[in-house]
Amino acid sequence: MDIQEMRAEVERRRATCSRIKEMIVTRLDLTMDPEWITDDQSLFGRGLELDSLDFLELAVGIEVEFGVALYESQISVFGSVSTLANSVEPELRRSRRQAELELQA
Amino acid sequence: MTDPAAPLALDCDQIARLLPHRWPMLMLDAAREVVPGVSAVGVKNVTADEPWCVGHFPGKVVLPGVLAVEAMCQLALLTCAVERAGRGQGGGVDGYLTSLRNFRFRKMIVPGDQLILRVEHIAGANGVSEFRGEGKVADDVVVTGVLTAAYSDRPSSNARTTSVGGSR
Repeated sequence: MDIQEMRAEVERRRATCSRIKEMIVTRLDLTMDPEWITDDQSLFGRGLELDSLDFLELAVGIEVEFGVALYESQISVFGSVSTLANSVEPELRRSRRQAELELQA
Repeated sequence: MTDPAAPLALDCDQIARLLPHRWPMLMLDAAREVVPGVSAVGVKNVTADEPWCVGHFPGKVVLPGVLAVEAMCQLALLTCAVERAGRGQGGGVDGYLTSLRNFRFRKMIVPGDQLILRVEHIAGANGVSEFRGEGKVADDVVVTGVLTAAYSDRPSSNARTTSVGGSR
């Protein structure tokens, strides 16, 4: 991976995290700027203080936003924006590859 | 042989075998075009002898908006229950609303109206699902919104009366 590819990868990761933060704030009707949520901040308990109903909302929100079903995942997947990004990135990579293949075809 | 993928129609007795609700809280009279886990159309005939008419409101009877939402939620749960029945988990479901979003009540619903509800699955599986719902009376859209419900298989030992009228 050269420096250009690494930069692009970092930018994609940042964009994914931003989309997740935006989804959390919109979906849970939080009165805060999405960018106030840091990537590794705990979402439940201390941290954002989300509860089990919020967890259900996030699971549905991730499916609507990214097309990834996390209903059977470990609860730790919902630990932070970073862990959520780790879970949705394989699907995002897959759909990017699919789009590239369709462009070539 | 019937096509297992064909939409189903259910009468009130069949609905009562899949949902735990009973009079006066069973809000569906019939369902049709049920595509398991995906979408359904439900019928709620609004009548002047329903218990809420006494107090909502004397001299100006209007179906409480929350009961239209309840009917929509029951229809959503019914599609989930039918899907589970198709997978051999046929005992029906117990379900609870977990969130409501963007509900709009555009017209009053009164006795004599036939409320035709339609729900469509947006996302979710495994005991939590989000549905988009719409209710119409004749050609008028009267209620729209998005609901999420959590549900689980009803324990088979739970011996509820299956009669729609319950023990009224």
